[in-house]
Amino acid sequence: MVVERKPEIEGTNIVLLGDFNPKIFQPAWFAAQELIRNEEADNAKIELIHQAFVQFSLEWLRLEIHQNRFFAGTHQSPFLKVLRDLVLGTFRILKHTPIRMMGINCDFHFPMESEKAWHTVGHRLAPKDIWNNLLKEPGMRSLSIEGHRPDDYIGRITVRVEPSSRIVPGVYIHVNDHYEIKDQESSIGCDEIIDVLESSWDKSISRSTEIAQKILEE
Amino acid sequence: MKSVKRKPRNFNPFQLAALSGSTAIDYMLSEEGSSTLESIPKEYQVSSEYQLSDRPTESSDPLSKMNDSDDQDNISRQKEQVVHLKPVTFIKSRFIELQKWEGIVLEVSEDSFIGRLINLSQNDHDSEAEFSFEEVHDEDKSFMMPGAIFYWTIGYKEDRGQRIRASMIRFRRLPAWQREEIEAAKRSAQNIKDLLQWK
Repeated sequence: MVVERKPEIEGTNIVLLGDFNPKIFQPAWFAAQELIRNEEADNAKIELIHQAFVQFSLEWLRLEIHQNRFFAGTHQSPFLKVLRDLVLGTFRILKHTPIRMMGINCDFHFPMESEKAWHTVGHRLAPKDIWNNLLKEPGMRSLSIEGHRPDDYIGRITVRVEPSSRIVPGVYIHVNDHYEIKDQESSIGCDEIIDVLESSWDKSISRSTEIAQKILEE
Repeated sequence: MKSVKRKPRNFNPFQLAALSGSTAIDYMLSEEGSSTLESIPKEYQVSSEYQLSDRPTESSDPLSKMNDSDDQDNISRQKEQVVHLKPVTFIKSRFIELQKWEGIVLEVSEDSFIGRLINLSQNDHDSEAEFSFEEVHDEDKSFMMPGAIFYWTIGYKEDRGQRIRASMIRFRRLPAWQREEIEAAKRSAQNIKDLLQWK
C-alpha cells in the first residue's frame, strides 16, 4: 500500500505573461470588484505601489504585478480555489488585457524520515554510476525534467527536484504547468488563457500533486 | 543529495521569478533581464510612502523564496539592483487542512443555510449539511443564496506557534456582472419554462 506523503510546506501560484497596468491592481480595486473582502483590503500588507510594479499581500495571498508579468500565489491549501477564482474574476473584468502565457506552479517541501531515505531519492533520480568516475562524492543538487503536455493545449510541463533548503532532510519539488495561446501574434485580450485556467485548474493541481507523490514513491 | 547551505544574500525584487519557484526563462521578467533593470525610473529608488530597507536581509520566512538554488539564476542581477525592498513575508499564520469540501447552497433560512457537499479530500459520496450564519464571515453573507458555491475546510490554524482547531467557509466570488448574468439566465429559463407550461 502506497502511503501518501504530506508536504510540510507547499505553495501554489499562477503566473501570467502579457501586458499589464500594475497600478490598477491595488487592494482597494480588488475589494471594489468584490473579489476580496473589504476587511482584507484594509489589512493588506502593501510593499510597493508604482505604475511599473505593485506588490502586496493578504493573509492568504501574495500578489506581484509587473508590466509584463502577473503573479498571484498562496501557501495555504484551503485557498487554492479562492486563488483561482481571484485570477478568473480579475481577468473576466479586465478581459481586454493581452495575456499570452500562463504557468500554474506548485511547490512542495516534503520531509524525509531519514538522511538515508533522502539520499535514496537522489540516487534513484540521478544514478551516480557515471558521476562516481568523474567527481568526488557526487550528489544531486538540482534535476529538471521537461515533458510534453498530455492534452491538446500548447505548452509543456517541467518538474524540478532539489534538496529542500527549508526542511532537512527534505525534498523540494516544483511543478511548472505551462500553457501558451495558439496565436500569439494576432491574439487580443485574455479570454483564451482564462478559459484554459478555468477548465484546466483541477486537473493541473491533481496532476502536479500526483507527480510529486510518484517521485517520492519507493 | 547534496545538502544546501544557507547563505546571506541581498534581496533582489527581481528575484520574484524565483520566488514563484519557476526559473524558466518565460517567467523571468524579460529575456533581456539587465536592460529591464536599467530602464527602471529613479522613482523606484525612493518611496516616501513605503519603507525601504537600506540593508536587505535574508527573510526568515520560509516562503519568501521557495528554495536556495534559485539564487544561482540571479547572482548576476545583484550588481544592477536599484531598489531594496523589505523581504517579502507572508503573515506568519497558516491553515493545516484536514479535510475540504466544495459546496452549493440549496436553501437559506433565517439563521442557517443548507448546502450539498462534494468531498474534495477523499473520493466519497455527496452529503448535505446545515451551517449556521455564525460560521459565515459578515462580508460573505451577501453571497449566500441558493446556487452559490462555497468552500468548506476543516483543520488547524497555526498562528505564531499557537494551534487551534478551525473551520473555514469561503464563498466563491465572481465579478458582479457575472452574478447578474447568471441570475438573468435563471430568470430567462424560468420564463421559458412558464411559457411552455412545463411542470
